[in-house]
Amino acid sequence: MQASDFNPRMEERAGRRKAARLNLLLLAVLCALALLALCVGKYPVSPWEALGILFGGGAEDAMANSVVWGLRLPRILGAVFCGAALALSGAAYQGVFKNPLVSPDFLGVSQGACVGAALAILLALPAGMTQLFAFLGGILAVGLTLVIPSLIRNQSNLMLVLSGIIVGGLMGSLMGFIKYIADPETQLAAITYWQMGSFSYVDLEGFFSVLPAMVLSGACLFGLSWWIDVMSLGEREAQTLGTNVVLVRTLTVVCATFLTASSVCLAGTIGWVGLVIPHFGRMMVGTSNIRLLPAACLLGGIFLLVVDTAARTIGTTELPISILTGMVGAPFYAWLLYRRRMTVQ
Amino acid sequence: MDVIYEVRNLSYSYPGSQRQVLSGANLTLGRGEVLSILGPNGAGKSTLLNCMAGLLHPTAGDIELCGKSIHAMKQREIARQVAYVQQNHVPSFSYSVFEFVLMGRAPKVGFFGRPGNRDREAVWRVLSELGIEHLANQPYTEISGGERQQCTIARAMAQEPQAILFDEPTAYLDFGNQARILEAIRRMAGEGYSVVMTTHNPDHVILLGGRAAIVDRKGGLVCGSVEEVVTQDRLREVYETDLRIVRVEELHRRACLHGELRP
Repeated sequence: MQASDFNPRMEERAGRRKAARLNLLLLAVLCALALLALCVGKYPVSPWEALGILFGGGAEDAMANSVVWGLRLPRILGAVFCGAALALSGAAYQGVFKNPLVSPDFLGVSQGACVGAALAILLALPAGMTQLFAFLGGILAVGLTLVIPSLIRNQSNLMLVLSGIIVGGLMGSLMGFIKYIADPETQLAAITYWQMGSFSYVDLEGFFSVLPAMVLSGACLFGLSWWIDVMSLGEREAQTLGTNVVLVRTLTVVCATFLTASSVCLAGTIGWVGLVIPHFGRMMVGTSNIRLLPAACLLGGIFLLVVDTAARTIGTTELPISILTGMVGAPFYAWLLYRRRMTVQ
Repeated sequence: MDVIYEVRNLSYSYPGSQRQVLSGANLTLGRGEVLSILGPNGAGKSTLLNCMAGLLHPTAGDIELCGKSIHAMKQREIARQVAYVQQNHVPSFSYSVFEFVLMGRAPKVGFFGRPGNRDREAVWRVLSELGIEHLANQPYTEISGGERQQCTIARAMAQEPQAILFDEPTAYLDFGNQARILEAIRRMAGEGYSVVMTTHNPDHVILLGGRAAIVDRKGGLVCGSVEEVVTQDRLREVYETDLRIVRVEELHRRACLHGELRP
């Protein structure tokens, strides 16, 4: 490299600006795709019509009105916010546990939240309690996942992943038990819906009931993004840099679990987003969580929006969303691992 | 001279263990002084550093940092005065060197905050001082071990501390890089930083000069000038091996060398 025409300061600044521009671009793409998703489906609507319905006080076509407001908008909002929430919580978990292999699924959070929600349905509790139970289930699962490695006195990344598999398996069998004793007429279908994940029953009321929790936890994680960077150096180093390690970690885990649980409340468990999207984000904007967290949010929103729109438009019957995220996410993750091997030995 | 560190009667034993890793250790360190700590494997060198960094709480005794008891200080307060360069390791994420060094500004950044332009300027100053500006945008995970050690030194300097603690800064480095790290440490002392480092190489201690301390297997500690502390008899006793301290006329200094290997 030539020293004369090489200015590291300019390069550093250019890197930050590029990431900011990329995030703006992603936001624009997300908005455009959301508008497009409003239009496609069994009852096609033109983009102008859709905009008129949303912002211009409705169209003459009553059917178009109810399709856009009643069906597509809640669904799109649900998909975008769940995608953002899952990707954001995945990136936060990866940072704070300094482990690029963890995600809400791998830590057992999703499964735990699902067990909580199923339990609330089984006990026929009111709707607000489902969210609380999903959160408690998620926290319990992540707590268990964190306790196992410290009991075995092995804090390696691999142990954390194994521990997540153990807890995930446990939650899976608890789920099986709940389904076994659930009333097949009324409860079983609802529980299965949670487990498979779908945006088809999302309504605006449900969306707005989880929105505050999502926005609050998300904002908290954005505020902590640079401290998550510091935490990812390891507990000791973060401590000698003056970090309040316990506070940052607790706050991050609670917020990320809230995000995952809110997403589970709205649409059930949806795999792969929290694991794959942060990696993809790092490839685009770099490692620093200051840039990664917004990018992960936008990419997660775009990803689930596209997948959900595909799920409801491809074929005659709707595909469960986890099937599609798995089909896209698993090969993509394999490709990422392959790429990492190529570039980082 | 300003006293930065004052360690009095420090004892430490790990929870659940009878063995005293440190017992009744005393040392003082002034501004701009270098203190090298020697001792066999498993003696309390790192433990002493961890206590001085506020990571471990001594079972007895006291450590004063700039005249204030370290137990009364919050970790953040300690981090404003002390930087700790722990043994070299590769982090899980490939931050750029710039981002990595920027994390040294943590003691000056608010809880929900992030570093600003002033922090970035401070990092550039440190990088150019160490002559590693060209590494700034490279992934920290993909540079050489010697370069990585330079980066951790840069991060410690970005912290703008009074004292810097190094845990075996020359471990895993080749011969040339070992010398470069020692040069960097001496330069830092010249700029007014107080430096404490642990090492396994008595020759490095002689080379650096200044003050030295030796931790023995029973947790005892002797501290003084290098000439007083690093003597042939004491090192032979501590390391339980044949070694010589000889004067090398070509270099105009003493050197510590291994003696005969046992058959």
